[in-house]
Amino acid sequence: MQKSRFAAWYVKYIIKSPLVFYTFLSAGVVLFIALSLGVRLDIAESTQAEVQGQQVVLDGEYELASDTIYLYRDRNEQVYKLKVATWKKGGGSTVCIVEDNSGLLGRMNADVVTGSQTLLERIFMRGRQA
Amino acid sequence: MAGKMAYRLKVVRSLMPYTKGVKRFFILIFISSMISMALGFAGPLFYRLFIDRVILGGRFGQMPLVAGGYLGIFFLDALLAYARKYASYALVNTTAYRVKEKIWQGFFARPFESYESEGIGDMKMRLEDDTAQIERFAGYQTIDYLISVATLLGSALLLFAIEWRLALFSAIAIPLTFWAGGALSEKERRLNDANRETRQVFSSWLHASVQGWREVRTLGIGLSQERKCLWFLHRFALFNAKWINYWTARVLALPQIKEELFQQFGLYFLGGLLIIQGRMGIGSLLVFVMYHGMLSDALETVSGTDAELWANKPFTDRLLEELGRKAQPQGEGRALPDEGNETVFEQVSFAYPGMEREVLHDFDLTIKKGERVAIMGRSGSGKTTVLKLMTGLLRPTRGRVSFGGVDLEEISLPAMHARIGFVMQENMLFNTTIRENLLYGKDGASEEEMMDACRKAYIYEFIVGLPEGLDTVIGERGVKLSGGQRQRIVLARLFLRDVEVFVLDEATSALDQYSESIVYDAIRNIPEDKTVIIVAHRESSVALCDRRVEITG
Amino acid sequence: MEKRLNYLTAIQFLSKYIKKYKKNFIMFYLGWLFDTALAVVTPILSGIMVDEIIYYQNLGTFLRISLVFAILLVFSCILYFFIYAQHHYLMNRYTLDIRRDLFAHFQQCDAQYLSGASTGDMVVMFQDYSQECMHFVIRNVIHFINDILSMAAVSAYLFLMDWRIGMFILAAAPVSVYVNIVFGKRIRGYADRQRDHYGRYISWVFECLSGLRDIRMLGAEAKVNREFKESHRRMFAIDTSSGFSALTAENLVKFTNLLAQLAIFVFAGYLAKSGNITMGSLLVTVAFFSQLTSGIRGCSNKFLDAQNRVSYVQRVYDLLHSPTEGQWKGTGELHVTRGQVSFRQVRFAYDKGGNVLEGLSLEIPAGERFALVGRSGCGKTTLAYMLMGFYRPQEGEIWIDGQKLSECSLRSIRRSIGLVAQDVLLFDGTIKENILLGNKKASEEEVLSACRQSGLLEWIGSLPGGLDTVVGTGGMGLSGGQKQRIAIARIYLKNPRIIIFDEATSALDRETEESIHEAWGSVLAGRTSIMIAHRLSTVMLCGRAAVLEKGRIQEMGVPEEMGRESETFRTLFAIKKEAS
Repeated sequence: MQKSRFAAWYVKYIIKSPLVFYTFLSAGVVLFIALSLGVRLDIAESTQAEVQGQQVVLDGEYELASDTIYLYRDRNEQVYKLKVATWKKGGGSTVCIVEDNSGLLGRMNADVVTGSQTLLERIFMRGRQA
Repeated sequence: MAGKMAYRLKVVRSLMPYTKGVKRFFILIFISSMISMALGFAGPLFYRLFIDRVILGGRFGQMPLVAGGYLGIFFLDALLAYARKYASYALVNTTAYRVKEKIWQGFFARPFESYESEGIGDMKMRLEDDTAQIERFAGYQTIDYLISVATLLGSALLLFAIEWRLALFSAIAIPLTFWAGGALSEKERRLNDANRETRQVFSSWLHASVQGWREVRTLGIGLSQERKCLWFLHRFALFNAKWINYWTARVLALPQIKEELFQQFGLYFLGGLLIIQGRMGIGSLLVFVMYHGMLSDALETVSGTDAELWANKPFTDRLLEELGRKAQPQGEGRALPDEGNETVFEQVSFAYPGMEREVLHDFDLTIKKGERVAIMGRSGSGKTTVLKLMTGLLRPTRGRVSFGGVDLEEISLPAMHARIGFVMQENMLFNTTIRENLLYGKDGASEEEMMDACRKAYIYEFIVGLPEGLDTVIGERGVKLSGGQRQRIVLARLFLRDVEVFVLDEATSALDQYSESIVYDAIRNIPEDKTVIIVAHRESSVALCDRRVEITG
Repeated sequence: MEKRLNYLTAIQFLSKYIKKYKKNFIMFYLGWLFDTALAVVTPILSGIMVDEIIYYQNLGTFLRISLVFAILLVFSCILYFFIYAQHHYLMNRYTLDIRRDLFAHFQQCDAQYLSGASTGDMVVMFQDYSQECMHFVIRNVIHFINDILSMAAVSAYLFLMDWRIGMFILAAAPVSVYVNIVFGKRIRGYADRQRDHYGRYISWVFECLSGLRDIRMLGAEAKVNREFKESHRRMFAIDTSSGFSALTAENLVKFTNLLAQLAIFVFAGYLAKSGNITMGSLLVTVAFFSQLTSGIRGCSNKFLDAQNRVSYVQRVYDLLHSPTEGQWKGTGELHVTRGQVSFRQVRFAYDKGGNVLEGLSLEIPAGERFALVGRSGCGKTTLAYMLMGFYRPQEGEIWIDGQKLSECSLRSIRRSIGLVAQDVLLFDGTIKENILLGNKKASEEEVLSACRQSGLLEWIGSLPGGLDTVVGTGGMGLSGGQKQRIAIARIYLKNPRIIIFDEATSALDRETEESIHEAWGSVLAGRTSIMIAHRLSTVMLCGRAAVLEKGRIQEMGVPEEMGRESETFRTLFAIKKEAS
């Protein structure tokens, strides 16, 4: 008897009633959107850079949105995270003063964080494919 | 799992005798599966090559090697697949056929009494449904199982070799799968068992209802038939509702969940952490994921095979039971001496099972070769019983019946049946052409022989008058013919067989008067040296006979 | 209405069953849709996760994305639960509905159609084919649609990522589709043939199993075994051809996909050379592509598989669209008070033949015992069955007690007429249950009384279980005579005014027949009975006999007189001219 009561309840709410199901779906969607709006990802732009001692000169003018820039020769090999103390843009380039240049020198590639976007935006409106 | 392995071996051993001559296909399938497995392991290597050298290393020149590898693997695999398929069909078809043949012939070897008690639906299920299991054993349950176990071990080793910490995480999946699979399949098995009986009952009922549709209509019980059908259907629905939950959970839901949580997320998550710590490179992670995929699939196959084996155990058990059944030696039994033709009843008594009253009591009778005997008696006096005893359809409760000097208990039934021809109460005609039906009497009979027999049975005119002649189809149980025509064809069949003893339950034959008198003429046509035993009532047929035997209750 | 179903029309046919559970179907479908969407989103998330980790080493972001991912996965697991709940429900109800419809339709099927059908075939149809219909809808339609949707979404995404990748995919797709169409037709052909063979094989098996005794006594085992072997050889051959076709199709599709994949690899390699690709995006590309290929393979399999299944659906369709007795127009109630029957100028022909009956007129007064005789195939059975509405005359009219049969409902007609045929319907069950088929509301006394009248009482008394003895499979077997007596008992319970005897005793021995005739004695009193007879003894029971020949009544009269005066009559019954 207990079994059939459960079975009847099961059929009534899970199978027959759309209410539970649709509530679940909506809750899921809402949750997902909320969460992914909450996570922010950095948008990075790639450019060339010249390292001269504590100074890194980037080609092009950028608004740095974070205090980290990434330098590398081959992205899949080694990427160096450098902390930027101050930066100034002007004259077609941006000059950054870094605290520790990890012994880097010369012409390299650089990824600069210029902004952030939510995860949601990242998934659906794909940031520029690198 | 060990128990299942033992069971698996038992089934394989039982099927072995039927694989004579085709074992080589089994080996072929095994070898090609092993090679395919090896190819499977090779795949990720080329992927690794691709990632490391082409993508990460930027060495585009390595591309042809990668492409060549993939293509090579594909063609080899495709070729092997064809070989495997061919071998698989050869193996399965041959084995399944032999098993079915044994079961089929077994039906013919059973004692006549058993035909009353076993239902047709049941026999059909044994023949068709239970043997369907064989197909699984030729490939899936044996080879795929072994290969999967090998793959499982192989990939597990590789995973540990690549990155042992991550591998530990993967390894959790293994015992979990077996445990869940085992528990669920046990429940499936119990349900299958219970449902089988319902299926049998339903099958018999359906058969009767469908065949008797005319009477169903005229009795006006169509609605109650529908209700009964619905009752059965609801029972099945209930079974299904329970069973499918277990099956889905085992086969669909659990694997899905595992794949989502483990493969998609867990590995990347943990792997990512390891990468951050610098313990692992991205290339390794990707290859790890691929091998983990192989492990996962192999795991599913292993646990799935086990589970399926267990769930289908009721069917397989019945199959084994059927195979193990000792056939009543058909061809054996004492042969008859060439001239042996006498039928002798010695102190025979007989009572139907469950009845107290004896139909025959201390009955004696001897019929010699060439005699024409008319057996007479009131209804219920046992005339038909005497005939059935004479032909081995029934066994006497006491006493001895012999033919040609050989006790019927020991006799070779086919040899006896070759000498005796019967026309009994319900005769069997097949839903095919008249010609085919005649051929059932004598295989390979020529056209003249058939025509001759038809003439003797006085059905020649009728057949010739039909638009399709001998090739007319007579419908299920001969429904397109009248009773008289049916009996005449049965008689023609008898003439075709050229037997030594004619046994005619004339009193039961469903002839219209017209044909009956013709048959009387036909009986006169029987050569002098043949024995004729007639359960007679017409004075004219009694007159044909040399002797009358009265059977009193 | 013979129609060969294809994929689309099969869906159309089955959709009527879907409509009934529309709500559930929608829930089921939405569930799958969401699942498909999730399947598209998850690789993207993985890719993002990977990029964040590998390049930028942002643990914090990584963890947050992981959280979202994890929650998404939990969501998807719960979603499965809902989806499968709906799936089971639908499967169950749906199969039940189809089976119920099949059986109900069967009860209505036109007599001509049923006379030609085989029992074994029908049985297999009820049990197995109905389930295939549901599988068709769920696997071959819904899953198929979802697979296509997910492939479309994935392709679109890939296209957006890089149009060049999209091109490779576009090249691969049409080839796969083409392969599927060509092989699909072939496989459907095999499937149809296999259904046919199997249906015939099973009918034959049932026949043989019913007559094992006879086959042995005929010594026909060799022939039967040969046919057994031959049937299997045929079926195996078709199976093999079909299997190889499917394998070839599968390989062709796999090959096409492989080429496309390699092309993408080449492209990715080229991009890598110029340093323009991230691991994450490669991962996503590869993941999507593999999803795509498995989607194509899955769709391809499902399509080929559908071809197989459509042949099952076709059989179900055919049965459900076969002619029914619904063509019978009468709706009035037939009230039989006396039992007078007349046929006026009746003409009847089978669908595929000439006239069986032509201009036939016959009057049978109430309470008469009437014998219908004639050569086999002259139409006696047809005539009598027309009385029960199994066949409809093309011309002419049948009247009972002044009411036109064509204006009365079949139900009321059959309620008023009883049939006793050679084969008696028997179900596995107790004797009582079988007798009660005549009138399920009968009381115990009425049943016993019927047994007494039909001569069963003594025998039942000798059984330990009495009326509750089980007969049939697993129970007692009954002799021909006993079955006839049960039929008589049923008639007693049904109590119709008109009874038709269709060669009822022709399978019985003389003594039994005589006692059955005795038992009939009281049943026949006051009722109109029409006997289709081949035996003189039966005809002699009757007050009047008519000879049916060439589609009409040629002669009629009292049996004894006809025995003296009618040449035809004498020939039929081989009565020698008496010398007196």
